[in-house]
Amino acid sequence: MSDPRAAVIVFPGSNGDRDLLEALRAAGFDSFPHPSGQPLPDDVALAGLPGGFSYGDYWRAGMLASQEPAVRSLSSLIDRGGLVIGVCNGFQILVEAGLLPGALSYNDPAGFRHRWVTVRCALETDSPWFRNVPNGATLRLPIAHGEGSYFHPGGFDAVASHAPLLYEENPNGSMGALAALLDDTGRVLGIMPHPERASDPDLGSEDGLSLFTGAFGAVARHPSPVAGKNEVAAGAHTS
Amino acid sequence: MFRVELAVRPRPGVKDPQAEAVQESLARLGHGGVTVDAVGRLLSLTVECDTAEEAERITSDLCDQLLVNPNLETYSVSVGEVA
Repeated sequence: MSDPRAAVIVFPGSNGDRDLLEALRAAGFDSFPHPSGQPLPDDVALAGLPGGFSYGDYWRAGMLASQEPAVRSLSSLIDRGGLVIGVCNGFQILVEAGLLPGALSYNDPAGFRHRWVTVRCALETDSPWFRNVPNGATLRLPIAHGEGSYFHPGGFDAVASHAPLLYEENPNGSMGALAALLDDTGRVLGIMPHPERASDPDLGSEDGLSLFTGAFGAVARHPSPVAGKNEVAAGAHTS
Repeated sequence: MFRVELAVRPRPGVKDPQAEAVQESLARLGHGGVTVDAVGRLLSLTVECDTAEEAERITSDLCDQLLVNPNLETYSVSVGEVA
C-alpha cells in the first residue's frame, strides 16, 4: 500500500510549506506541494495550510487566500472524513474561510513575536490530531506571528470545548490563552504555534511531531472515508 | 457610475493595538493632546450601476461576503456620482 497522501497548499507568500512537507513526511505521509489555485485532488487524506504571509497579508491576514480554489475545496475533503491543519497563517486562512469560528487579529500588545513557548493540552478529545497528546501534556513549540490574537464574540467560553492547546504564558492576548482550535468534527485543526518547526531534535524540540503522527495513525487506521483512487488500495491494506 | 469610499474600522470594544501603537508614537512627538480612536482601512471603488442606492447595496454585499469581519470590524460607506 502506498502511504496516505497529504497535500500542502502553497499560496503566493507561503514560507512554511517546506517545513510542513517535511514534518508530514516524517510522520509517514506521502506529502506533496499543491498550488492554491487548483482544487485539491480527491485522493488526499490530509491537507495542510502552511505558515507565511499569503498575498502579503493584504487587507486582512488570510482573507484573500481564503477564496482560493484549494481552500474552497476543503469542505469536500472534510465531508469525506479527511483531515486539515492550518498553521499560523494557515490558521488565519481557515478562520477567514469560515471553517473555524472567531477571528485572529493583531497581537496585544502589538508586535511580531517569535520565540519558543510552552502550550498545554487542556482537552479530552477524540480528535485524530491529539491521539498522541493526552490531556495535561505540554509541548514546546516556536511561535512567529504578528496577528495571532484569537477573538470570539461569545468569549472564550464559546470555544473552550474546542480549544485543545492553551499557552502557558499568553504571548499575543488571545482569549483564554487559546493557541489552537478544533472544528466540531475534530478533524480540522488551526494552530498558531508551529509544530512542524518542532519535529526533529535538531530543531530544538520534536514535540510537534506528535500531532502529525497522531494524524497519521488515525488515517492509517481509518482510511476508508477518503474517496478517490487510493481508496481501494488503502481499504485493501487495512481489511 | 459611482465612486465609493469604504472605511473599515475596529468594532467598538475590540482591542485596537495599532491605535495604541500610533498613539504612543504621536505622544513621543509631543502631541500628547491627540487621541487615536481607531486605526482602520480605506478602500476606494468605482462601481458601475445606475443609482447611489445600488452602489451602496453592492458595496454592502462585498463587505458581507469578504471585506469586513463582523467579529472584529464595522464599516461605513460614502457614495458619490462620477461626473
